[in-house]
Amino acid sequence: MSQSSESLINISVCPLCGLRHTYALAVKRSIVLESLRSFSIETTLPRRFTRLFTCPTKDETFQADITLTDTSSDRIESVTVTGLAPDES
Amino acid sequence: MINGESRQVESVVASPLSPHNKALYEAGKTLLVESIEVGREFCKFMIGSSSGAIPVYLGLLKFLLPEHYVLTSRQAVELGAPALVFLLASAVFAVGYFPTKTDVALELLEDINRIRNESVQRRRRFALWGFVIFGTACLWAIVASAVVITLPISGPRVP
Repeated sequence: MSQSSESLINISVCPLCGLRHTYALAVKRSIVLESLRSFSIETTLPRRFTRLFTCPTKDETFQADITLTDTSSDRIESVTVTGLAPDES
Repeated sequence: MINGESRQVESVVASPLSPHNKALYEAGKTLLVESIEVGREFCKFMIGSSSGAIPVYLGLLKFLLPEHYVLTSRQAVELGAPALVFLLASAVFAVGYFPTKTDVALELLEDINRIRNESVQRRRRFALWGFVIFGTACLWAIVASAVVITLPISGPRVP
């Protein structure tokens, strides 16, 4: 079983034009079934993804390393850049 | 360059494309664009090959058949069939080559992606079936040629 969620990420200084851009990111996570133990410690694991973005000013592509977190109850399956945030486009 | 708004995203570090990632990006773009053309070009090439195989096969038959040899109607069907199968393969490749009638709305990227995938799948299907038919015709032509070689020179003659 998996679930998708949308996040917004800010590129405060675009490496191409120097302006601030906000992009929408679709993150798909698979749910890990909870163990039968009544008590479990929530563990987190940072995961780094490199994704390509298009600068709306220069219409060129740059890359960004995004760090997301895997938890003990869900794992990241995919991270997709869906485009500019609605208020920016 | 650090993100602070999202609950999920911990940090974002933006930078210009590295040469390696730039090359990968260009390769990805080429793959995406050319995946349609590859199937189309294959079908186009195979239309010529399949239809060209018909006169080649018939010429080979004429060359291999003993002079003044008259085929029975059954032999004529068996030896002539590969030419028809080559023609069928050519027709299958031709159907695969021509585009289907679809309305593309350029502002709907999902639609373009769906149509592109359908087109690639369709071409692949026709190319595969066309190639199977072409292979069958080749095999049949080889067997038929081998049979013709073994025909007795003093076969049935024109009365």
